[in-house]
Amino acid sequence: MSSSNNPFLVPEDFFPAAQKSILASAARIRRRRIGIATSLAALLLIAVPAYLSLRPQPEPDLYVEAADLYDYDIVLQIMD
Amino acid sequence: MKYEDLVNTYYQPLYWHIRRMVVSHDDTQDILQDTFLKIYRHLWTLRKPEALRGWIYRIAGREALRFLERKSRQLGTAGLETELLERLEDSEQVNYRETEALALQRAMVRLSPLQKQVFCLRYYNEMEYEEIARITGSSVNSLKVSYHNARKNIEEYVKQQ
Repeated sequence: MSSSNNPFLVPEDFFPAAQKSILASAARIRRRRIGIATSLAALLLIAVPAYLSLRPQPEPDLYVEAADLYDYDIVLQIMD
Repeated sequence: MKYEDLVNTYYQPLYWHIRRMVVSHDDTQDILQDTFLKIYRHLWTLRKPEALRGWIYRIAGREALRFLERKSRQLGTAGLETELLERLEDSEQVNYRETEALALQRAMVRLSPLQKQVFCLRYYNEMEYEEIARITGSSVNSLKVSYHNARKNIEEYVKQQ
């Protein structure tokens, strides 16, 4: 049996056109992916600063007072 | 390998591989379109570049088998065989001067989908059983049995003609 002969026919110029069409489909998917990635990046750029500005801020005064007390204790210990 | 090079390298071999299984040019084109889109979407998951050929043939084979199974559910095994033979006799799709190749193709229509796939990979693509095993997920021994049975069925059919 020979493996080279083939009974099937294909339309003329089928292969170059079909390969071009596959590459065009891939390019469409790539463009769609880039579009989605760009939209997500833009959304993050807007959403993250907005979230950070709206987030309740910690109260720095309490921290300062606690630190001051701590330092004061150490000073007392050294003096003893 | 760039996707464009991959399409240029594998388009024709995969076309013939699928065409021998599903016979019709239009169906082959649809299956090939799906196959290459799957390859494009999942190419990044392929870790070993040396496994590329097997991986591509696995996707193509799975798509072709899925198509045949779907047709078989719709038409039944005998109905599918009849439809494939009708497609094969379509004068626009077949070169009748290739009498031996045509007889071989008629015989192949009668094989089970798996036997057809194994026969195509071994006979036309000249692949080793180990590579076919990676593509089909079957063991080497069962592939040898499938190929042997396919060959026997084809020889019996060709002798009867």
